[in-house]
Amino acid sequence: MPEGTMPLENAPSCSKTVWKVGPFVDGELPPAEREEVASHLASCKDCSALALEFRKLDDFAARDKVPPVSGGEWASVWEGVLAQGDSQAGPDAGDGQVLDFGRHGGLRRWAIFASAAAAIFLLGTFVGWRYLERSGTVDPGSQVVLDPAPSPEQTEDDAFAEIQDGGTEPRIDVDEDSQAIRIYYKDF
Amino acid sequence: MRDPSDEEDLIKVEEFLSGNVRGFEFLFDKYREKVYRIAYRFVRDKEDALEVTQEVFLKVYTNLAKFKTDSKFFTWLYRVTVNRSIDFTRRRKSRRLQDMDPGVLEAQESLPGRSPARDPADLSAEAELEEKLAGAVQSLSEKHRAVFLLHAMESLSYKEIAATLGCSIGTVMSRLFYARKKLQEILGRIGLEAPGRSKQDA
Repeated sequence: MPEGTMPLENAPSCSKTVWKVGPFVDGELPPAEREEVASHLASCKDCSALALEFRKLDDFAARDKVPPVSGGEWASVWEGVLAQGDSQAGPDAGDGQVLDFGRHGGLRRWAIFASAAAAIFLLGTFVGWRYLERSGTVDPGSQVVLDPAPSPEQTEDDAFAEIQDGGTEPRIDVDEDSQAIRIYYKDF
Repeated sequence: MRDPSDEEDLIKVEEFLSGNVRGFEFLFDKYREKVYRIAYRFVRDKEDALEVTQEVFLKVYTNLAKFKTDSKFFTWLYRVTVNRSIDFTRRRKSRRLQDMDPGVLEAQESLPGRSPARDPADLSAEAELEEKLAGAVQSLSEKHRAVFLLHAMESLSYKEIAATLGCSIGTVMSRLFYARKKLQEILGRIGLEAPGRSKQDA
């Protein structure tokens, strides 16, 4: 058997390997896992086609051109930094913190909480109204017009969290010592 | 054990913090291209990218005292760059929505260097594909775009991306997989396929 391959019957299945195709293409797999994936790709047209597509995308993206900057333009940037830096007094807010794609996460949480509270209030009002209507306290012919409660805006964060909780994206853990990859995914 | 380049950065940081601006100038000269390139990937306009670059270094200038020397300077710098770039794109998007005059929007779109801007008929096939790919990348969510740009265009490793974005390596893998699949889907839907090697190595 050629070096770096394993018997076909021992090769991992697509569902276990597909998530490792990217790291394989990127050279980020430890040797043992690389061998596993290579064996699978040797026999799986779909996964090997996926690997090829990923390579193509990366190769092409790497050719994306960035306009050059002249010495004069850099000098202008530098002068701007110094001029504004010297004029600013005291520490700024700073954003070297961990990247937070929902920078207004606190505001968003309050918005969701307020929307949920409004929805509960409306539901309670509706239920109460129906109860009173049935009990004859309220004239069934009268109407109560309520402004529709704003639905919580589903953000990318929420959508992503939703996908992670019950969708198709796997949870991927990397063992710090062995660098082995463990993938937990929804079995369809 | 630290990389010599990382050690050098820390020495320059200390130099600046003890009052010598040459330390900061060294860091500016060393990283300005990289910061500009990352910013350009997000904002897709030279002038905007230079504006973001200036903002990034201004942030570094005023906040270097807050930098924790147990981490790498360039990781912190890239984090600031990605944050500022995303902020800039959000502000620009918000400004465009406010200026809903079609004439204003059309004028902005026709400025050189903006994407998408040029009439595809004027472009070569490869340039057209580049425009389409840039557009497709812009259509990804911020999380996925950041990972794809840092990996595919700036060649950062998974570990470097994870440190920059403040997430785990597993998350980087997951987001990159999703980003690539999404790009594949978008490019396929608009009838384009990225050119590349004709035979696979796998």
